[in-house]
Amino acid sequence: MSYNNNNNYRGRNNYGSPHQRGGFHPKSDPEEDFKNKLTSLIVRIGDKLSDSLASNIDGLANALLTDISNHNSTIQTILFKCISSLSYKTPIYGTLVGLMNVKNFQFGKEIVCTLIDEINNAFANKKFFSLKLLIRFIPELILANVLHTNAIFELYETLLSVLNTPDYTQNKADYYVYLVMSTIPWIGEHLSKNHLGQLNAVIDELESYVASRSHEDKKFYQPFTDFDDRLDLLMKQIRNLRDENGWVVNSILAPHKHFTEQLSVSTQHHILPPINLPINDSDYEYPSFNKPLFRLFIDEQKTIERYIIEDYIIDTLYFFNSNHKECSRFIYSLPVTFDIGDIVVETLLSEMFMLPKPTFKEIYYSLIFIDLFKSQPSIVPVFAYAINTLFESIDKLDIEIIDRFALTFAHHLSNFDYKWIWADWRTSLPTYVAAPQEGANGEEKAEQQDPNLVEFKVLFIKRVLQSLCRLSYLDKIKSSVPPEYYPYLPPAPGPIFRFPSSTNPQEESKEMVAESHQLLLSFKTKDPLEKIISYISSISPSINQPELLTKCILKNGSISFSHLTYAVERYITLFKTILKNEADRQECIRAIFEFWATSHQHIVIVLDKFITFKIINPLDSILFLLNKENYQQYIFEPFSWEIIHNSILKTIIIIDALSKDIQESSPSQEKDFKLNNAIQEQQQLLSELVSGLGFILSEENQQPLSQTQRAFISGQLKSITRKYFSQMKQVLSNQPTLLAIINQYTLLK
Amino acid sequence: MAELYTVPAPFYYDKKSGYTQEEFKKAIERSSTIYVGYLSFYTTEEQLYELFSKCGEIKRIIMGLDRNQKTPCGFCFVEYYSKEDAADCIKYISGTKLDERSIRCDWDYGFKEGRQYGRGLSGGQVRDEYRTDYDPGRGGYGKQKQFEMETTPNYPDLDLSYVDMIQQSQQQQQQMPIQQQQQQSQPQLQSQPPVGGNMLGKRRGRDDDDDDSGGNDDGKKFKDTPTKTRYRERDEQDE
Repeated sequence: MSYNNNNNYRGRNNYGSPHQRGGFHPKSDPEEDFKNKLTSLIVRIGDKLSDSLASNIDGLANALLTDISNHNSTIQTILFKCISSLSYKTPIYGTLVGLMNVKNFQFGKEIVCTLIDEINNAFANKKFFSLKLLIRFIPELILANVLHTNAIFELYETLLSVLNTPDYTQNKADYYVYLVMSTIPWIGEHLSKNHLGQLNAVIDELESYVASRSHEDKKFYQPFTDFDDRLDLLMKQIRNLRDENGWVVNSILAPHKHFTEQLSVSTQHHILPPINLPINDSDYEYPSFNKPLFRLFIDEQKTIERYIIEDYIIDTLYFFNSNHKECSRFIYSLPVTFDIGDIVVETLLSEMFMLPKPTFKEIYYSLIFIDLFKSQPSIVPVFAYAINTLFESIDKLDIEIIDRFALTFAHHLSNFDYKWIWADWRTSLPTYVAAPQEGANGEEKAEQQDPNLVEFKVLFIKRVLQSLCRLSYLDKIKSSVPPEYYPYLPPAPGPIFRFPSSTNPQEESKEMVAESHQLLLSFKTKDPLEKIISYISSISPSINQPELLTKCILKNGSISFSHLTYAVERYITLFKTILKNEADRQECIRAIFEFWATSHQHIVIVLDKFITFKIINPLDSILFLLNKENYQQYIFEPFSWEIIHNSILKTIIIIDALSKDIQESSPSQEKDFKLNNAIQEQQQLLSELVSGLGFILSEENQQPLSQTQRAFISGQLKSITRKYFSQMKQVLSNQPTLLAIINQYTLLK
Repeated sequence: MAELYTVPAPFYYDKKSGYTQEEFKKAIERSSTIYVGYLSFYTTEEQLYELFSKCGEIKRIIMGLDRNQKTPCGFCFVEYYSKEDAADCIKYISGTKLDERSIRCDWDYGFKEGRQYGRGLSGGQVRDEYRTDYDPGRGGYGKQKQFEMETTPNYPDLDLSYVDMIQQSQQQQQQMPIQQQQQQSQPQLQSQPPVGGNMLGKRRGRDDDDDDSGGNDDGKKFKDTPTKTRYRERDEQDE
């Protein structure tokens, strides 16, 4: 085994003589060690871009050639893992295989066959991210003279054949067209030299498809201002590459150019085996390309470099998900020569704000920002600028995105000691009064602001502060923000163990108070359940039993959620006995809202626990919030929507568990009955919700909504429809009036 | 693919779990419970809910308690409904901040009654016995250090080791009737929450403890934070 002069490979001395190692590490398996070494070499090549890349590739090719005889399958396995996940390195591996192919034609042939196997597998297993990278390897093999140029046109023909099938969906066609488009930056320059006519013909075909697409649903998935979807934009970028930039791409490595002579030695090409497109793909959820992209910085969007770097970042976020530190490091080892801070920030926000939901949980993207703040300080001002821009146009964000933004932003701040340019933002708050010396400036600003924008800013600020207080505590946050923010802080959280009299809410009902003492005493002395039940049944009918019981239990569980769980768990039967009907359950919920009036978080979690213990149903909480007497007070508060989402999720969890049970064990009539019931309940919940919101938005509603309130409710309705679309479909097709409500109100904003 | 880059951490095995190494591995594979460490004593369940629910629906949170005082002692177990959410918690929350401290998340083999109590000699976590740094979020100096600082200057020739003292005090506690013990510990807790926090005029930078939080920020937190919550035992008499 010979390593020319590739000093870049760490620890190569150990590798050079495996038998020596036995003495130092008696337990290590030489075969395993060798494999790890090999992996490290293949994985890390090109990590640090330098002039020595070409010689490193050459060195690695020679090293691998000597190992092929004994470790062929290991080498291929590692190679394909890298090809299908290390986004920017495709050209490096292409050239590597090319160099090896010159000296070992059989190896080249095997790689081509394995590549097609991998592609077919990726199609069969719906690995859409890997698939794009594997497909991209075909152009690289052409550049490395392993495949003939015609292979690319064969590939295009195969992929675009989908457009000639009778019943393709737009999602599916978009994906195949995208696969073709995504290879063009990698091979365009090469094709433009001798195959320009053929290339232009392909581009024409792509253009005519792209022009024919429907944008019907686009608006429904718009996170921010209107913008092209990914396919439309990529088409423009490819056109720009051809017409303005003469096919020159800077952010794609081209190591094959260092080896033109060596690679041209090989005069024979391998034949590309056929690719099997999936036939039964009715259950495939192809990635979607028809949503408006989230864009903050409009400059330079049309260049192909913008696409390539964003694509690298998205792939890195995907493949490095298991290790955020490596992920943020890899993003900053991309082959670029300029500052990509703005693209990184925009891409991360765009992934985080994807609708109906991001690829990963929001906190992942927030975490990458936290990492980058530490490792790439240059990103800090870009981030601040982006956040500020969003804040200044917060009324243009989708309602669901405002919430996502507020929560992730609060999470971000909680990792940086709650420091922010709070002083700058306070000028846009209604509470702000310009100090005399600031004079005209401040007033001017206040005058210029659109009242709707101000209301949304307040909504956002309240949500951020609330989330910060939940992650920390009120006094801490209060000491971190200027006084203008105080009115928007949540109240100090604490239980309210009161029984307001029905005639005069200022006073307590003496009867209730007396009974509550009695009940608490029974809990304390651990009276047997029967005794408590008979005691409650015996008290005067004028006493609100659900309220009495709920508040006393909450009182016992008010110290922490552990205490609450303990208190509730112990008296589930009691609850089930006392709460006889829907009206009782509504009283129970009202008692929860009163008891924790100063802590929204408690209301959300207590309701969740009550639903989990089946004391109340998911539907009950929806009915409570939509109740004509309550909605004015609660429905415009973000925490109500936490409750609504939790309730819907509960119905989904119940149905999933029941269907899983039926699948895994023997089906029975009883189980089917339960499942049907659960589905019915979910449908009822969704239809109550949509019709309730429809009423609030309608003209029948006697209390007119402000512009902001209207936008808020219709935005939430849109969010619910988007998020639970598969659950909603059935409801909407059964009840056209509900569909009409959604059509009428969700396209407003 | 980050796996290509990272070497998996060596397998951790808790000898006190009562499992063999093989059983332990299996228990971890089935588990959707996370052990969370390096918490401040003042971090509440509400805060934990807010942060940890960012990774999925939480089944329950069990606060780690000081064995004697029944107050939070800096760790907890978070159990998720789904394994996937628990895995995300390890990926996304471990190493980030809660209450301005870097917290740590690890797979746990599943909660059992009794595991909520600290295993340290004096009731808290073992790591708080021998710490020599000053950490206001975790009761000031380590227990042993506190003991040394309290005794040495005044009674330089006192022949009582730290371990002896702990054992003695525990024997005393056991002899006391429960009711009395409560009455004794309760007001004490409320009047001076940070054990050891108020007896020290000086502070020092932290040592190279495995805790990499910014624990030495300053004592401000005591004033701002509500009193530590005392937790009930499963079958304790109501107050």
